[in-house]
Amino acid sequence: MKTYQGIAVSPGITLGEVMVIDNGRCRVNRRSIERRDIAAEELRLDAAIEATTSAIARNRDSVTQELGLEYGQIFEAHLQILSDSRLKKEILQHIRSDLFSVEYAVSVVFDKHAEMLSKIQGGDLSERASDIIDIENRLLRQLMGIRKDSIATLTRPVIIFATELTPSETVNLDRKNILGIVTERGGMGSHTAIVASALQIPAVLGVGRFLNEVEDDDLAVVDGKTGLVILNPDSETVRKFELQQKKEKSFKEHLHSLSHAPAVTRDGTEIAIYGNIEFPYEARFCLENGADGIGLYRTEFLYLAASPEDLPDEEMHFEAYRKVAEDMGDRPVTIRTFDLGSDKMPAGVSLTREAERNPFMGLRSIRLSLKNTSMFRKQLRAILRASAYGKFRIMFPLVSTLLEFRHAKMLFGDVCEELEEEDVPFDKTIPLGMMVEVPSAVIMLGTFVPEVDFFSVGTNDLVQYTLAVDRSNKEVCSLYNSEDPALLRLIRQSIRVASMYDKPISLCGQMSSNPIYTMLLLGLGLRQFSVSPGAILEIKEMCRSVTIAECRELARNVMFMETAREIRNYLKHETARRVGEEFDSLEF
Amino acid sequence: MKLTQNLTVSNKAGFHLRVASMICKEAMKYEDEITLANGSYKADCKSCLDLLAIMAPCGTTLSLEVEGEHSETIASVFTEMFEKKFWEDEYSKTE
Repeated sequence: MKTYQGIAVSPGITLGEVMVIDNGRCRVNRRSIERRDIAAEELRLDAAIEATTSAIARNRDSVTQELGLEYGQIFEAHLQILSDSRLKKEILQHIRSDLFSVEYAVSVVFDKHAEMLSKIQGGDLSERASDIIDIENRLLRQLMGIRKDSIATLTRPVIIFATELTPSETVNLDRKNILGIVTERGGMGSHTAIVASALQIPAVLGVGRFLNEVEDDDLAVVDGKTGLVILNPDSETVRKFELQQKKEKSFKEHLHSLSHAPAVTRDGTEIAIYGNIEFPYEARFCLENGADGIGLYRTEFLYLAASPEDLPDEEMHFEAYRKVAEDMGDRPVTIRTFDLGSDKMPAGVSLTREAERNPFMGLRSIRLSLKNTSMFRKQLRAILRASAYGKFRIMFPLVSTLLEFRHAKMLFGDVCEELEEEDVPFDKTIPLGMMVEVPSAVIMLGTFVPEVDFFSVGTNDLVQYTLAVDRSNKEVCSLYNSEDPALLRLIRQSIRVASMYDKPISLCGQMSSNPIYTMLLLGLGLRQFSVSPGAILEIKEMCRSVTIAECRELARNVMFMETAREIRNYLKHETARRVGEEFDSLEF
Repeated sequence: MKLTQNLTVSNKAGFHLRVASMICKEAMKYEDEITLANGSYKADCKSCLDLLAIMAPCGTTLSLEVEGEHSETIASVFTEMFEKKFWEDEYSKTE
């Protein structure tokens, strides 16, 4: 039994026989030709290029259809390289002046380019060279009449072990019979990783040199979640993994069966689970997972994708919002007005030419909207018009004082009047709420209550502003902890105040999507979660596995603890004790 | 007319294979001479192979040079491609 560690790129546990793919490059011997053969060699080159071109084009079309444009473009690029006039000129040069055979000329030219690309520092260079080698192999195989597509047609299920897979090998895999992929080279973001995870084939890449220790028909266990590869495992290990594999499978099926089950705790308290979305198409995914609505619809994408001369107009906003409204039907959609500024400042929106010295404390979110009122009004108009098609709620981000909220509400009132005068239909009872993500808003929450219809706690910014820490700064990011006792007190206070006055309060931000915090948040009194679409089922399962009574006790214990570390360990332990290790996101 | 302009690679993944392919495809539409330079390395935009050797992570500034009768159109089309991040976000969204 031997164990190797690689980079986990596509989750899942697999167990099976090994097939080692020797996908080294085609070897070509130096061979000279006679001068009178030049014309014939040139014809062979043209024929080979033509045949290879149509093979790649077929690949491109089938991959585009199956996996989408992103993957198809890889082969589009291969086609362009193959049709590069310089490439052909260089090959012809070797045939004509050096009297090389086509095969040898092709290999000399491609090797030169592959080597050049490997030499350039930085970036995904080995990957670029592998694209060149992929094309070279195809061309040479065509010229030499080799039709070896070993992994395209397998006779039995195997785990593929290879130095690395070229893009064409990866997409031409015989999917029925591939249990997993293990390679010496490559990593996150490589073609193999992208395709493997799209096809849900467990994969571990970048294991390092080890293929000399592997033989065909060896037995192997591959864990695509941890990056572990075990060769010739003993019977105990096999049993352990088979059990885990079975558990994982039944857990997935179990989660899936929950899509239309309600999120009710074991002692009968109903919990609402909403989805966080950014793009309109994600609404459908939330529905499939049985979300109670959209708790956070981020609208920045309209601006971030635009160029300065071509900022989105009211119609573009309207169409994007209406689509979500219609998809969600009578389930509520909370739409957050632009959270632009700081790190997300599109060209053409900024009001000042000077760079801000401290952008996170600067002109961002609602502050920017209140200054750039023409942009803000345009958005409010579009939201209100779309509100006629569904059940919307409007939420202002980063409100830090009551006057800001009043100011935004006033502008909102103006826009409502404007639409009424124009006889445009909209939902006149649309609720207005705010994000609670600045400590001042938590402290003064009671004064907001009479004027605000609902609250949503944004933990990402609240952590940053409470602990005064920039998460992207390596030197201090260890201070950034969602479970810091100071933050938990702010969350508890927000929930208490809102509940006291019967105002709905939810929690969005990464904290709500992580099942490790679910019990704690339930214990602190939270009844509405807004989570990333992929986490809906896990959070639902979490809620269904616990009682409010035990969550309260857990929260009480946590509030006695003094450090984030102590709290984290406790939560990890308590969560694992109840739902086991199956949860993908049970990590920090 | 000859035109020179700086363009910044602003998509997260940097200047990769698909970007090279997209640029090459666009460049092929025109008769004009189009080059992109990264420091001392200069690539002919009509050669995907040439473009592939541009190693430019996110944030790198490249210099575009266009010569011909469509230089202004080309410069604006290229600017848009870089600013829209080669439409990368339409595929993969950032959390």
